[in-house]
Amino acid sequence: MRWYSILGSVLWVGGLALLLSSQCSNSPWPAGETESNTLFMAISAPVNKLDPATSYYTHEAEVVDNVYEPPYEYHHLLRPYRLQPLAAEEIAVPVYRDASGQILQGDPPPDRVATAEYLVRIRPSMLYAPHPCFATHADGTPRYRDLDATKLQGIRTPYDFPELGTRQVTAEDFVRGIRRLADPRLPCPIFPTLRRAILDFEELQRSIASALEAERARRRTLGSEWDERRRPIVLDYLAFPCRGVEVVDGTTFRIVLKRKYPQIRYWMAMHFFAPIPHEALEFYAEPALVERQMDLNRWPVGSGPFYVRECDPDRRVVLERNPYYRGGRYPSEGSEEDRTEGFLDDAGRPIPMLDRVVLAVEKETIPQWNKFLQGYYDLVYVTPEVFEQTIQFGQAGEPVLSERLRALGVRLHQSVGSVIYGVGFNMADPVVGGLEEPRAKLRRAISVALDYQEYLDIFLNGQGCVAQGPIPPGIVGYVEGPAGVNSWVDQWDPVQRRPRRRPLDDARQWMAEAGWPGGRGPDGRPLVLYLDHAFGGDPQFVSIFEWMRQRLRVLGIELGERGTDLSRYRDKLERGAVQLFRFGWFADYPDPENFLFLFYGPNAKVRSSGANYANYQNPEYDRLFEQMEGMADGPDRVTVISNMVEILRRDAPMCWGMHPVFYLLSHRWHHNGKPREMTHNSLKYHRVDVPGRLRFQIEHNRPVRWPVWVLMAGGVMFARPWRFKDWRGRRSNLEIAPC
Amino acid sequence: MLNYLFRRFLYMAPILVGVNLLTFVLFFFVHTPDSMARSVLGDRYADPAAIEAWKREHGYDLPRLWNAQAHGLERVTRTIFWQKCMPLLWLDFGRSDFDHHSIGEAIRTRMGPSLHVTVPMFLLSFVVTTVTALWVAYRRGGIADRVVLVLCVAFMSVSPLFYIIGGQYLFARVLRWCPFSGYAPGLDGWRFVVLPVAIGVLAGFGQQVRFNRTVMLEETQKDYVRTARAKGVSEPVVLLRHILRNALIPILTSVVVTIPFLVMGNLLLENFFGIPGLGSYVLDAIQRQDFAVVRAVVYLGTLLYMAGLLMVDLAYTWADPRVRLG
Repeated sequence: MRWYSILGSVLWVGGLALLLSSQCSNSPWPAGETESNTLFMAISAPVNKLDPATSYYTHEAEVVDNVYEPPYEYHHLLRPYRLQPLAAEEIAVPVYRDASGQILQGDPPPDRVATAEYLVRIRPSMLYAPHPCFATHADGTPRYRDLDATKLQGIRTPYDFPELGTRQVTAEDFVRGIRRLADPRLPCPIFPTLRRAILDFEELQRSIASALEAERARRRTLGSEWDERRRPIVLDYLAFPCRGVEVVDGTTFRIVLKRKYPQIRYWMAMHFFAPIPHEALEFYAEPALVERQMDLNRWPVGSGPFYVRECDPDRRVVLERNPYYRGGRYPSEGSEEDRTEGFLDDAGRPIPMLDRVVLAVEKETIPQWNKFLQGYYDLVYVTPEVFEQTIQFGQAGEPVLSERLRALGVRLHQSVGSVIYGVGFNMADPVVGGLEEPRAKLRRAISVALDYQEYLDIFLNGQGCVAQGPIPPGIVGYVEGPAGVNSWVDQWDPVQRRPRRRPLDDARQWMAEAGWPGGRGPDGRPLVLYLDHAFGGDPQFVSIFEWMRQRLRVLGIELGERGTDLSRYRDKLERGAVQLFRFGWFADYPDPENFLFLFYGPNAKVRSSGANYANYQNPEYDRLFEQMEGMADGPDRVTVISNMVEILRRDAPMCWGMHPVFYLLSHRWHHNGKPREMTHNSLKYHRVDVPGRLRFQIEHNRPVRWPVWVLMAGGVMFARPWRFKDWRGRRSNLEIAPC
Repeated sequence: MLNYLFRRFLYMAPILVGVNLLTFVLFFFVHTPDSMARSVLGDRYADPAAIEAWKREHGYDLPRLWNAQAHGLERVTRTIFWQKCMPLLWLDFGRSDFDHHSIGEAIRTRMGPSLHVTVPMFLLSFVVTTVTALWVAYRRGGIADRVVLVLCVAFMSVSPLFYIIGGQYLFARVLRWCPFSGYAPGLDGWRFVVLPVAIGVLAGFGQQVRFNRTVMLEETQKDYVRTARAKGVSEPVVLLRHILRNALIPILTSVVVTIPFLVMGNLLLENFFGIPGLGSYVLDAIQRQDFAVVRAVVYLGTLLYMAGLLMVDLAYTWADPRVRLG
């Protein structure tokens, strides 16, 4: 056989395969799906926890927050974020009582408050989304109990059950949902915080643990079929005594705190405070369903605008409009900027405007980005990998979309994240720690050298702003412009109209005053510092560390790295055995307390295993924190916050790094996708113009067929059948091989 | 044969226990239960009480290897090693530390998508590389051989990541023939797997063809080939019946051992193409520090490796009549 005959065959086969390929489309969605009123968006990781008690990741919040309705939510458009009632009729006003039970008027000081009581009245019109757990027989008994394999034949999801039902959401459901957070079987990430705030919550956990132990002891005598893994223990959380969370009547419940803690209202806007129907807990405890992995982590039961219709945790989750949703209207209040960006075009329209939402798991950026360009995702966040082909800078340095994306009709929305990144100093360290002025000067000198504007320019395409303290923009306590500059480290640049680091000569001077002139100690040895981290496998860390080392070298400081695995790194943090460390914090709620508590002494890592990673302990700061934590919003509180920020800037327990900017791109057919970071229950406001999307998809995704014809023609040329006669009698080159 | 199999299974037992012990030491001495609790509860608000509660609830509060507080057999059984690692021996993979779902069920579910990609990739790769190697061996020293040699070296020099990104760019973006990534179960899934399969074949092409070619050339210089030719056997018969069959023995060694691993999927391909297989399951578990899953998969990998070695031995008897297992 001649080589071109074989090549011809290959081309034939290849051509046929390509012809087959050319008949299919590059759409990742099933046929017809994009023709429906569906929003398509990507999530970055598999969806494993949809239980509102344990879910904490942002990508899972995209599902959970749209399925459940806690008492409060944040206004869709207004910034700074403003709370508004969601499941509740109104925002509860706390009633403060002293130790004798007397009501304290106004805004009493925290030390006088013995209890704070929040009476929450919920809307009477809320119904759960359809679910088989609510299906009943004529006599009102549950339709689906004592299920076995035969009854579950052909049933893979809750929506395969022939009968679905609903019922009204009650105050009991809210109390059950909140008390359930104390169940030791559920790793609720915010339980430690709630335990310190809610009256009797710690005792409630102990009671639940005892009840579980008692039931387990009883079951041990009954045999393996009562194994808890097959037959979970269902507890009646309402039966446990807990004065902190109680039912008042069918539509009212009470939360009692054991101290003044106004931040509770922010937690009440998170899914942790969502209602849980007892029917769902009993339904999912059926052994046959446990065996099929049907549980609240995959199939939530909520009263929000959507419910989970399809859950393939590693592939995609599909939300469908809750037919029993009580409804609502798109907000009419917003800023002028919102009006310009079209976020007020749908003011007053009934919500939700979508029938379905497809959240596809997309771990890699490049496929996600390309699918967006092809019109298969309606919106996408810009990542560093695609930044350069997405964003350009205008004459005033403002970010604008690239010409190509503008031609596609893509729109750009941006928001500064309620996040801070920087480098922490371990205040318990003998070299960089301590409140003494020379040590503070050393830390401030390091902060000057670590020029985070340069960091932003190198690593984040300049997108972000240099932090001037612990509080990010959009949070009370953040001050813009020259007045907000951290003068210990930065100064205002009137030309660039942004802060810039003080001259390095200042830093060198402070180094000398700290006892390290030119980076040398009294014995002439260079100052060697170490960055502790657990980023060993991160290729970007190598360049970030190199940048840090170069920056500190200008002060004569030698920076080394001490990389370990995460487990050991955590252990080192716990023991205070770190020196410098990279640090980041995302806000859980839009209150400065969520950042300032990171430096509260009793939260020190080595002392209480708290979130004060720097082990910063300053009695003056702690006193102000305790005062601020319990204060109502207002100018007095802002003054206290300002004083606290100034103390932190002076003591510099952290090199305040930067607050990144997030860019959201949406296609021209997608509306109302204002970026937000506090809870993610905004899908009910989104709208898509389906015909517009279809037109775009058809126009931009026609398969290119000419290579198929070229390959076929090549095949015809090379693979004429008569050429195969050459095979017979031909001698191989193998014969010339030496014997 | 049965005696041989029985003996091999007996040899497996201490290896499995040893691997179990080794992974236990790695996971529970290096990565402490406290750190596991922090991974699950999150670093932000978890305090010692919450960590203790989690450990108690998940059985990580027990002593690691020896429970001095217990009595009788419970000194051994009421330990982390016994409760978390020993069940692996009877294939009870337990539950994920992270979401408490059954690991066994997850492995069963995710095997499908992995096999959806790896089986066609394996078969296609085997056929294509064997045929190509045979052809270039047949055309040794000719233009075709040289061209394939250059191509093989080029394929071996390029990172698989390049094939993935380049393939996605060419076929999904420029030509628009298939989706960038995604997966659909059942027959509809073919359009999602065709590109990863092609890329998988291409990425392994160079190395496997070079190896197979070397093996085949070695066979061509054996006496029996010369004898066959001297007897006037036609070249295709020499090639296909004599050389190929004998060359298969070393090829099988390298290929059959990988068969059991097909269920484990391909980490890179699954991640980039959004295929919810076992490869991406492991990667996710590592990223979220779910060591119950990692432990189970390490154990499964050991089992599969041993199964692969056994299959190689069995394949020898089929490929080489001289080999007798006993």
